[in-house]
Amino acid sequence: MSRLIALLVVLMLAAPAIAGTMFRLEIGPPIAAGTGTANTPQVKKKLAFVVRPLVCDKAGSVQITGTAEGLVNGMRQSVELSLIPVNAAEGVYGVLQQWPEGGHWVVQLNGSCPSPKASASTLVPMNGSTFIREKTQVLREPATRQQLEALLKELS
Amino acid sequence: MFTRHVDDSLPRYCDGELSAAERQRVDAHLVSCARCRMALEEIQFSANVVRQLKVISAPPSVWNAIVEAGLETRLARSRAYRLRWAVACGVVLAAAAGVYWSIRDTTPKPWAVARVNDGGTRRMAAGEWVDTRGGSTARIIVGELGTVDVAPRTRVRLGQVSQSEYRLQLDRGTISAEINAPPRLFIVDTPASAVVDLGCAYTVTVGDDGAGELRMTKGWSSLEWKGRESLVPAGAMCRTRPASGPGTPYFEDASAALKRAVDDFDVGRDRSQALDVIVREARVRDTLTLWHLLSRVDASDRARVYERIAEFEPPPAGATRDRILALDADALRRWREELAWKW
Repeated sequence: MSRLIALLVVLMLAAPAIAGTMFRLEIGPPIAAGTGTANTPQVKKKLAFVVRPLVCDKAGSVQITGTAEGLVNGMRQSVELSLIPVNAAEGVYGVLQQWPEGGHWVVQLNGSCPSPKASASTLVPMNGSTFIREKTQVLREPATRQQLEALLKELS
Repeated sequence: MFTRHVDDSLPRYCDGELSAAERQRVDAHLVSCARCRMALEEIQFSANVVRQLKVISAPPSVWNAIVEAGLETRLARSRAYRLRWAVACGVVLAAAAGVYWSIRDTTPKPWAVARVNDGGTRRMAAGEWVDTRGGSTARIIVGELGTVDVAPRTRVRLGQVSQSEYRLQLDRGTISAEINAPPRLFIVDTPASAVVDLGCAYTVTVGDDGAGELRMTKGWSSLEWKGRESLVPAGAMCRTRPASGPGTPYFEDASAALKRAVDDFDVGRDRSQALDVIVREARVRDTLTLWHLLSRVDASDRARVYERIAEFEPPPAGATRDRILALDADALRRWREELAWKW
């Protein structure tokens, strides 16, 4: 029994470290798309934010999809997003504001890594075309409906 | 001898219209000239034939045709008259255009400036000033790149425009730019720095003493001055000073203590203590400030700045500690690109 408790304690203590080595989607400001000057496409400067996979053997093969989930005048809306490839080899994509102004919006990004096989989500609350880093949720598994709705409710 | 024939005078001779002297001369000539006598006989025969013709009234159609012919003639004359006037006017206009062309203002005016107060827009040339010290506001339209709003009590000089550069010179006051252009195409010169647009939207203010500050709202920009460069992403600001150029950038949501310490460090006020505060107060996002300090602190302080950044985000493979402490440009750039994900 004491061994089991010890194992559980060890696992609990190691959980953050283990989580840090799990597949996830990281987001960053547009400047993370690269500060190169001559070759920086104009579109990079319009990006709301960029996203990249972490801890995946082949970052370039990670599939990332996104939707903007909104609450506008009490009505739920959903906008499917087209992601802009920024660095295909590194799996870096940009997100442009494709949702309307007004209301409260959360961008939900889902990614799947083929090796090691894993899925992850990131929920990104938006203030217009600016992302709110402090409230961003990086999840090591697909986001649930409840997590999304709770974040939208927190914004409104 | 030469004989002067009289056939030109014969019709009037027949009609009795010659003077006595002329008639005597013709009579004398006809005596000796068979040719003129024959001509006289033909004229007299024709006159007799005509005299035998009946006189009848012309039908109305003939008179109408005659009237119309007269009108046509007048119209034709009128057309010719108008044509002459048109040609004359054309010549005068061409001359006036020539004069205008030779004295016109050939200065290129690539800038469009709208005075918000009166709603008018006018073209302005490089070298002209937009001055809102009277309390007005203005908007500078930067071609198709974007706009620059000029706040009251501001003086901005319009610079040269080329395919590779649009330049403004902010003497004092505040401008807010929203630009969508390739990097480095739009530049704002201030007394203490050049704001090189790498991004989207920002506000630049310059005080009476030449010191200023840049606040980024979207994208990112670079402040450059005598080889010194500060990169300022959205949400961050950076002060500029005439003596030292661009200062160290920091995020506006950083702690008050950190912001005050950065200002102290930049002006050289108790730098060691200021650095202590910055290192202690820094969050992961404040690696923006720490990264810039790597190349600005004394060599003896560089290691502790490095260690603090590495606590948040170790440098990427290849950008070793030694290379970074030696301020290797490539290693610094690679670490910055990694850190930017946290900014």
